[in-house]
Amino acid sequence: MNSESWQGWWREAVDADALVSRKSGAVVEALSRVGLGTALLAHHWTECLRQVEGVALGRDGGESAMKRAERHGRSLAELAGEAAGGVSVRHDAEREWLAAARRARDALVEAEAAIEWLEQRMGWRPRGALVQQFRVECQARIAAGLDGDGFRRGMRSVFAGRFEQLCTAAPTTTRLRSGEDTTVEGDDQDDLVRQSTLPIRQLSGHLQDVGLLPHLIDTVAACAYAAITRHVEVTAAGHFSCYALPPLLSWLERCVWPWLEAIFGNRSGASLADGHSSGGGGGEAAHWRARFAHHTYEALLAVRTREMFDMVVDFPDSLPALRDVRECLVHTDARGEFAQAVRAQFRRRLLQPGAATADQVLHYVNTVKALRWIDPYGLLLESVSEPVRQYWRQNRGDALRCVVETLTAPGGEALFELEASGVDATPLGGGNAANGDKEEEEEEEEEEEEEGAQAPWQPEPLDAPLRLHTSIRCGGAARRPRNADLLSRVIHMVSSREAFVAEYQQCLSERLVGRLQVPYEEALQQVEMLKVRFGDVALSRCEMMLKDVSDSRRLWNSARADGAVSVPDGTAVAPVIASYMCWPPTLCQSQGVGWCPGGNTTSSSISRPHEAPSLATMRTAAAAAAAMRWPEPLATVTAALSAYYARVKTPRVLHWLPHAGACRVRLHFEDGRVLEVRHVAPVAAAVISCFAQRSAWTESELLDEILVPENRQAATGPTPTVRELWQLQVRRVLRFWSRHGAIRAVDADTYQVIEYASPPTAAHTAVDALDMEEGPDALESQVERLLHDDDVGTASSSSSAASAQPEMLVYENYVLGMLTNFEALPLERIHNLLKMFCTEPPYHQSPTQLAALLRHLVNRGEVVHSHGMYRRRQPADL
Amino acid sequence: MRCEILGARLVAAWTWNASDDTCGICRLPFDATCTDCKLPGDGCPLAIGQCTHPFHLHCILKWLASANSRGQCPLCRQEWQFQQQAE
Ligand SMILES: [Zn+2]
Ligand SMILES: [Zn+2]
Ligand SMILES: [Zn+2]
Repeated sequence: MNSESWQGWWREAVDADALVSRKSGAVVEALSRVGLGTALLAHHWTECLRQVEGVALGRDGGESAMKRAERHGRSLAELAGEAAGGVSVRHDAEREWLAAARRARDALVEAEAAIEWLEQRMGWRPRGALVQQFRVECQARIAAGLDGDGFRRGMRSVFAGRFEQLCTAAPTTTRLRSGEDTTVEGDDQDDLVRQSTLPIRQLSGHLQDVGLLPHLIDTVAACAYAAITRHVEVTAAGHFSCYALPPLLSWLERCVWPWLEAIFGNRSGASLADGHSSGGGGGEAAHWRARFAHHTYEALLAVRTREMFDMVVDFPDSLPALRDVRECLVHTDARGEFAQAVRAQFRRRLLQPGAATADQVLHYVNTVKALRWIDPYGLLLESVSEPVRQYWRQNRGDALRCVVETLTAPGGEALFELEASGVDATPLGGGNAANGDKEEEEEEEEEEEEEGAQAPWQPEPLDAPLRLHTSIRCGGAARRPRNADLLSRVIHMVSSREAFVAEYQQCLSERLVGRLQVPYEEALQQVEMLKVRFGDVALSRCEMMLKDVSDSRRLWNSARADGAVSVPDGTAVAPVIASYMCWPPTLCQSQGVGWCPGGNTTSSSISRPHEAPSLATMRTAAAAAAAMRWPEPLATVTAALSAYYARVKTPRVLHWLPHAGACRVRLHFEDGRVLEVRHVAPVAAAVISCFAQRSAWTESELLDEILVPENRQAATGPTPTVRELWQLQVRRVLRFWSRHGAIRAVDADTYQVIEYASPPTAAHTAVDALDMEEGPDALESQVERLLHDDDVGTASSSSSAASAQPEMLVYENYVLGMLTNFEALPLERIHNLLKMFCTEPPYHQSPTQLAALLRHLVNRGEVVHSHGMYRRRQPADL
Repeated sequence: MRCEILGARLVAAWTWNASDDTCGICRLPFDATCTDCKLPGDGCPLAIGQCTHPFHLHCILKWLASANSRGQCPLCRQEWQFQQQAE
């Protein structure tokens, strides 16, 4: 109803009776009591009254009517101002609001009564229509005249206050529900709730009557959202061992619903006449319940998402929290955002330059377990994995090695779920794929790999029934849960299956020959487990290595039983006789420097060829190895076993490998010091044995002593002789022993036993070479570390240019390998490649030093230098 | 200084000690296996003829079983006789 029709109505009304003016006065009076800042309404009514007065002028006299109109106008304006001032967040705001709302309601009731009287009086039909129109008009005016922000702020604090009150009353009801206290039963409990919601119920009732409640929906919602968010935060944040959803939902039930009920419960169907009777508001309340429940899921998901990384760290203790995530993802439509957030978080926290690769691997394994628990389809995992995969492949060359080492370390099988295929933590996914599916699975992975980078993560339903639908929708081509094999997944992250098997073989080889105690049974078991995953063929060489070990054991036993070999008491000797074609090439190579001169690159850091050592490699290795004179009692043992072997296995012969294997050596010094070293290569034992015979040796004398006579001559041709290869080996060993305080350099070339340590050191020192670095690399890396220590520490008397070259020899084979692979390279490029690839030992040399090495290689005739490029000498060049 | 070697894990690699490194029939190293075998060494032994030519045992047996071998060594065409191994 617009203003004109109002005026028309009033004009008609005035004509009817003089009582009109009295009644209209009552209306104004009543409305003035609304006190809700209804300035516009006041203005409107004043306008109406002026019209009314104008019509009635003939009877009452204009002057008094004008006065009265002015008075009404003034008083309404004052009331409006007062009401606006009353909107404040004061302590007693609620009571004020309740009073104001009640006044407003009463005023309207009175005004409506006046109109009704008019209707009756004038015999209008249908009755009540005017009242209805009037009410609508009044409510609209009141709302329009409100000071919106102040009003809402005031109401918000009122609602929030009531809500807090309800929440503090709530624990009582929880306890009641859990059944600990049975004295108060259901009805009383409801009473309790009704009691604590009574004030808010009244207030909302009045607000409803004056039509203000609809304007407060946003306020109530904001209030509830904030309260829910806060409560979720307190309940869930940092508590990973708590499945927060059930208590949260029950909290909604106990606190939020009654409160909502109190506010909106009597909304629809309520009228001024029937007051704030409840009922009929179910639809609205249900609507709000749904929205707040949804908000609860979202808020919980947000808290959990924020802490996903730490939850993964805590896995499996964080399973309850992960359960929250899973449930929340089902109830919200936020899978995409979740994946995005987790992905970003992992990128930020996992892929830090400072984090050790082994830790990253461990963490990733937990990530897989945690995420697939949330999403059995592995799509989420896929999304999170991609950046990790790229990072590892680009920045962590040691990732594959770390995976293998983690697997072979104690607990590795359980970690990678080799035995059980992880059925325990996979709630829905069909844990393990059947063996027959393996190829198919691989293909699938290949495909994934191609698309993976671009394709966004597609949310898929998580709960079983829905999943069933999906598979039907997809025409039966449903995705199999791709998390079936944890190990395969991790391998996929760092490299290929082939590379893994090769690395595993390498690692196995180190375990089998590099230790005094061979973990044979464990290794055998693990290889069996891996066969299930990778197939018999892939692991056939690992199996053969193990077979060599067990055959060796048998042969050794029969040799001893035969009396062919005898070992002095107190010495524990055991051989491994390798079918070298089944072992990794490193078996026949001294670590870091190949026995085969200038051959293919030998360091595992550049490439680890999958194929077996070649015949040529073995021949060279055998020749070089044969050059060493073994220390007693090993010399006797090796010779005897060789003879026995040649007898029982003719025409096969043995070649002992002095750089492979492990010895336990104990040194007794004059001052009573004892140094015990485990897991050093036989060559190191051979060198230190020499020092037991004579306390000082030069490098050259040592070589003469250690090598059998025919290998003692110095280099003559372009290829280094056995002696030259040994020179490097011996030099390293000398550094190793000086590092451990057994010997020291007395001048540039001579080493001497430290019989009396100064200052006196610990009487008994035990060193395990394996402790510092896994595998036979140990000796090398230690020595190399020492090498750098020396560079820094002793500042040796010889000029750096002269000493640079022996140091550089370490990189000789890297360089030669590089030039074999790249055909021709400039100095700078070689320098950069070395920096990039040389990890054992790390390459920190200057280009000048490298140039010196290259000059040396050119002089030796292995490398040709022309037009600024270095390349290998081809036969045609000679 | 006194030096005791208390223990050792010694590593050796075996090779066939023959006049050649690779089998003249399958062209694979003796230290590996013939095309049919998996286990080198005991699993796929070497056979040496009286002509001193060595082959994988399985290779020479296969060869001798074929019609065009005429019982001869595939390299020197002498009549094939297994060398008696001195035991
Ligand atoms: Zn053959
Ligand atoms: Zn065979
Ligand atoms: Zn022959």
